[in-house]
Amino acid sequence: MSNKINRRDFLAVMGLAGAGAATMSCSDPKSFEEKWHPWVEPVNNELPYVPRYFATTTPESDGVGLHVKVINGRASKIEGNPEHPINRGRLTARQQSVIQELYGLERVRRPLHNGKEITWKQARELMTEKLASTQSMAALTGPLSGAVHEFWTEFVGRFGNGTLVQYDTFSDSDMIAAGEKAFGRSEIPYFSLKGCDTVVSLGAQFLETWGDVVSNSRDYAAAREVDHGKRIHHYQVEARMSGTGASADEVLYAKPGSETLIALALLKEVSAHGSKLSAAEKGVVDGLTGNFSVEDAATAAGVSAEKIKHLAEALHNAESALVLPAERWVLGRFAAQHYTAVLLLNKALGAIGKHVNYSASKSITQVPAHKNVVDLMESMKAGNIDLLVVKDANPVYSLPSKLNAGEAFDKAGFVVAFADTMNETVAKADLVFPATHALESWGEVHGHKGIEMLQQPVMRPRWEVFQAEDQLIGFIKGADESAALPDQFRDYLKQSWTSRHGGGDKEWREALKLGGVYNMAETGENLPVSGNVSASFFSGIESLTVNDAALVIVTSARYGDGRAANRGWMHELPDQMTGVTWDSWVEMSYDYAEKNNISYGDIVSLQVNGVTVEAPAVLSETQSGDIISVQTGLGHTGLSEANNRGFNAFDLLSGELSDAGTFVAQPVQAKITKAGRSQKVATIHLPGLGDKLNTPQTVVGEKRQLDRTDPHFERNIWQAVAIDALVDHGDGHGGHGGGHHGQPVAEGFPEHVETDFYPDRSKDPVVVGRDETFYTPYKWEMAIDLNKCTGCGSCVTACYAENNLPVVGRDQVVKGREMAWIRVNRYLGYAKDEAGKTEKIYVAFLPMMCQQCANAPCESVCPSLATYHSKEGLNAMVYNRCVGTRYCANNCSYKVRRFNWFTWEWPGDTNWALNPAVSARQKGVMEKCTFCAQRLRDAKDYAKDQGRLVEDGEAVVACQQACPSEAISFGNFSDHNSKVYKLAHDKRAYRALDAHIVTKPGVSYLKRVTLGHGHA
Amino acid sequence: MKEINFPYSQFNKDILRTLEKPSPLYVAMMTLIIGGVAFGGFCWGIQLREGMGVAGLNHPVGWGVYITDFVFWVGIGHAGTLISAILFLFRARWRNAIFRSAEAMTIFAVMTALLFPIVHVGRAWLAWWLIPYPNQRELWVNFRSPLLWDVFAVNTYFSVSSIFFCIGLIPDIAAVRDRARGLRRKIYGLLSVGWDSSSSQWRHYMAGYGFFAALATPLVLSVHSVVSWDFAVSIVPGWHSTIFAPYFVAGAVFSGMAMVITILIPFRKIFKLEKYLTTWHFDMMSRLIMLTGTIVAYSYLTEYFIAWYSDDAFEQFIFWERAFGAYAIPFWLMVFCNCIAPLPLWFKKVRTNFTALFIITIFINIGMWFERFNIIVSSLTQEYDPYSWGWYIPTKIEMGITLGSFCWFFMWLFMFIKFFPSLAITEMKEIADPPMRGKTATAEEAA
Repeated sequence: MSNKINRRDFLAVMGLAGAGAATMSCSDPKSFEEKWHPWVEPVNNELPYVPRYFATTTPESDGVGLHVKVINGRASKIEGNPEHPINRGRLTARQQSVIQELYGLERVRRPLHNGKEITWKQARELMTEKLASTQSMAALTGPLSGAVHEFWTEFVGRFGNGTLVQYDTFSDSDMIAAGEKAFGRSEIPYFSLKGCDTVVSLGAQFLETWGDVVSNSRDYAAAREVDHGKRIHHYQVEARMSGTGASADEVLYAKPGSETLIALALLKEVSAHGSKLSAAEKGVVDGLTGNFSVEDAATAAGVSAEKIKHLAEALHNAESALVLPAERWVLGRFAAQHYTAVLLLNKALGAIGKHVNYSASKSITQVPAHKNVVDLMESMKAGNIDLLVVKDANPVYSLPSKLNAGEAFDKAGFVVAFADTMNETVAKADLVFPATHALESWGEVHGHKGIEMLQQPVMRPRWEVFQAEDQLIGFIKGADESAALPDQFRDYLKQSWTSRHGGGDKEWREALKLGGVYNMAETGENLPVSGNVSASFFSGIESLTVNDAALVIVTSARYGDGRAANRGWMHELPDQMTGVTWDSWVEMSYDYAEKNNISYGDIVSLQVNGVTVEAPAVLSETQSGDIISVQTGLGHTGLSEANNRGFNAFDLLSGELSDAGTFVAQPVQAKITKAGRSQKVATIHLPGLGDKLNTPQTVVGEKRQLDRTDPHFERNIWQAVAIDALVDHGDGHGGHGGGHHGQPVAEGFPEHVETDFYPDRSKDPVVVGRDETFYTPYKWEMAIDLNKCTGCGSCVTACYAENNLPVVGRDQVVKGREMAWIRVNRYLGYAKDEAGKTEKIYVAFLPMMCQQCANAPCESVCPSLATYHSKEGLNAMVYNRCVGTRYCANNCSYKVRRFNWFTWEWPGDTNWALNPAVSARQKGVMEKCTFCAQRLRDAKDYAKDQGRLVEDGEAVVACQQACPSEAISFGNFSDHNSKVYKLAHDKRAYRALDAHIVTKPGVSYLKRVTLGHGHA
Repeated sequence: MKEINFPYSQFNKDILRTLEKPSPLYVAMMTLIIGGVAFGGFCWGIQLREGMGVAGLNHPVGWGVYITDFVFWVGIGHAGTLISAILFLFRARWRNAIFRSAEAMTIFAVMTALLFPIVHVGRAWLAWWLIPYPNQRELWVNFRSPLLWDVFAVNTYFSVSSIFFCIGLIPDIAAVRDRARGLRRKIYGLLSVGWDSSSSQWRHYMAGYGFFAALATPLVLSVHSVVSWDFAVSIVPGWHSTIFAPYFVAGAVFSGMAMVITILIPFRKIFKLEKYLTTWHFDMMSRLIMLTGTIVAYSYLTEYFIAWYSDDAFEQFIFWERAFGAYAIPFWLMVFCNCIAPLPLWFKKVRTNFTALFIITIFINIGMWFERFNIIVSSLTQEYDPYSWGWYIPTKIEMGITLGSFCWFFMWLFMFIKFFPSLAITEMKEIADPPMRGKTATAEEAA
């Protein structure tokens, strides 16, 4: 007998195997849960793999507009809404990360009763029953606007005299109070840096977390542009150099807690030396500041009086100055006084109306006071609430632990949560209704006056869940059939919107398309000083400084109030200053650490207000003296395991309220003890930290192991130029020269100046024998203005979103395996101050991605031709051809190639956000930035359809698209009229390392402009 | 040379004694060795399954122990062909006793080295893509890449060395065949390709052997030069250096000779071949070590001189860091092992003392491994952009595979010892007086 298989048997076996495989794959119940339908009837306007953009927003987006890219019915990336006056298409990293929550591990999918899954029917019955019997209901929500606010007010009104409490962790009622005192306006003005020539921030991190970060960054960057030999002067007063302080020209290291005194001293000085105040106003102001002096402020701040006078002088000499207040965390009970002083100071400087705009303010109704939620907790504890409905608020996490919100929830009669995402508060709820995510919901968000944004679902709900408001309509109708409500919240919203804005269906659609209406006033009126403020208001102001181990809380730009702590992108984005990823840390200066014998990574326990937390110590050169700082946003207990990390900085608050009803925070003396253990800190900023436990590699010979790699920028990767060097040329464009320093290239390597090191591309096999040449019609290049870059990291997250970059996890980051294609290099520079005594530390940021070298070291060494030079000047990377020798990465002088050490996983549903235009990578494959080749292809296809070439500004790469300060330009270098060509020939332009190794990078950097002579 | 002058029959008897039934010690060691190979295979399996992340490699250190091992083994594989081909052409008669084992070592070292490019690449299952051949995928390879030169250099070296080795073996296999019985006789008969020691065969054989020796000679120099270009052609500070080719070749001979001595000392003891492998041979090999060791030490100094003289800040920095930075320990270990430890060889007493030689050559082996480690790792950790500096230490998986590679090498070597004459019988006879001619010494006289 032959055991050869014949054709018939073969087909039979294969058929059986195929059928078996098909059956097996179908038997997985999960695959049916998703309710797949064949695309027999296509969705309107939907073409497979053709992205569509929906204008929307979310309540947590800081009042900016979003454009959500939807491909094949799935939201895949968030970009900014270009129509929106605040963000004009740009976004911060955190604002982009919302999409990860949409597909996050913590999504609630089934109704839960006491933590157990129940059916929708059971849940609804239970809710109906509770609503019918409630006597004292309350609803706790995040900040609500417009129709949403109307609806919730109506809802609570219908059941048992309910009250509606809104809670926003970062709302600041003291600013409202200050507006009332200074100008009789109970509003928060819009602070604008537009056209500003001097900005003094008393601590506000306006490029990271304070105010409207995107517009701040944009206006600040624009003001940094050298115009007739001038640019904005930026002074930052703070003890711990923040990311904002890193951009400043001068950082005044004042002790935290002295800011109010400094503000008043400045007010006094400015008023005394002639200000824009009227005589009457000057009288009022002088009456207020009589008891304060520069000397007292200087003593409290621990700086010399000259420095404060120097600040006052700078303000006085400025044509258009703006003073920003301190962060709320250091102001203590004097927050309202501080803000008032700052508002008056701005008044004295003539900034009211121009930079402090009350015509585009936020009203008191948009700023819920913390007092309300504290009162609610009290009445819950007292048992006065028999039914609590929660949505979009997480007080159990973010209220100070003193207030014991958890206990309040335990004592409340019955807690119902409408939640898209599990968190601490939802976990406390007796009944949880799954709700749609903000990107799947209808709603309305109001920003500054005149900005009313519509929130529309960009995709069908990922799970079988319903919008909270739709569910509530059901309950209202169940209780009262005659209720005059539409069946769906969308219609409610539309009715409300059209009744307020007029117009019909067409206008409604127009508004949806635009994302809302934007009638924000660019400038406001110069309000007169009101008579509301009296000298007694400022009496009793004293220094809040603490001499030893002063703990200061810092708002995290990545996690915010903790809502972003469930997103891998935010975990993996390095902290701007310390580079720490994934964890909480206790930041302290090297001096303090040395004094207390603490080394990098030692676990320390921090005791404050009776609360003890533990975290690794992170030693920082940019933190002064005895300041200890911690950041908000981590320390969750109710998220998935991977996201419950670090400690909760809100726990450290005392829980006291200011007169205006905001939580008070001020520097407090922390008790720091070493726990006797240490931990590897997953920081990206300190080189060589990897497996070698917490010992940064540094320049040899330093006694202390400080973060001193290339401290004088001799490597010329980051370069700066003094503004003086640009002055002669007027507007700073054209001409040659600039403040080059470090290695004298022309002298050291004369042959490099003479020789054209471009390989002869005419012989390249890519074009030989074809009717094609290199770099025609396109050579894609980028220009990055280091003068504008604030190092925020928005570009990094945009790249993660666009190019399907994996989140590798803490353990791999520790090993140096993060996959970011673009990173923001942070260098520390050390320069002697004017006196030549103490060292001044300054921070340099440099976004680094593949430089697309025209003479690329990586291309020639790849044995399998997986990377090659494309005709358009890109270092193309063929993932499928890569064998993984890693030679290219070794030979890359910029270290921008990233290797897939594993086949990375996308936990939960995060793979739904993958961009289908970018192929997924397997383990063992090298990857890197290719200037968003897929976006270039789209732009070229679009242009080709119209029978023309891609126009300048038409091809936009992801990092450029997101950059809030518009520091990145991109375009066709072969088009000599393009912006990128012009920038590449700017006198500030240089190409990193090109002078030394002649790689001919396709990225031009524009030197940072420093004030005065020499380099920064 | 006159010392090794025995009757032809005694050569046969003594040398072929190594082919006899293995002792329990041999079996035990072979078991351990095969266990080590299996362990290395297991580690590699984990790496294939999980990804390269199980190694300690990271950004920016893309090459580590695997490439170190590769260069180390290629280096080891230099001594054999040098001894068998170059010294053959130079008619250095002391080679006759040692060249067979040295050559075997070469082949097995190159076989070991060839494992590492495959172990090292991220997608080992696609490593064959580096071989250029016309294919339906219309894909080609990049002849500008030093890695491709490597593929050619090492494979050429391996094929030529193997052929040269096999040709040299033919008369000896015939000698084994003549003493073998049964199945063994058939196998050896097949392998000896009809060798009958006729003078016409000898005439052709010697011509062919000389031809192959001439062919292999440039390869000895080229293969490690090409391997060195893996580094020298790059622009990594610390790698980009024109001295690398001679420096690497000298280092390769240095380490190869050391490995030959390290292996031959226990070998002559265990198989009681003291009278064939005498102090004379070891003296000669030690002299070669002295020569190459001096070149290596000189190259170290030259590298530093050039780094200083170039006025290239990046180059200067990396050489400073190599000596005084995070990798100072491996660096000074290398300097001690390669420059200081071999110094006693300048004394003849040391060169003829087997214990001292054994210890010194072990040091050289360690030193040469670390030399490659230093060049590869310390250069990669601190390149141009200080923000991207890093740190690398090997993981257990990498060390496991390295251990496996040593076991793999010794597995072949042990098998070779049991199946083939480890000393070249015919060439040993060449240096002895032919029978019936001149004075015939006895074993007693030699001793």
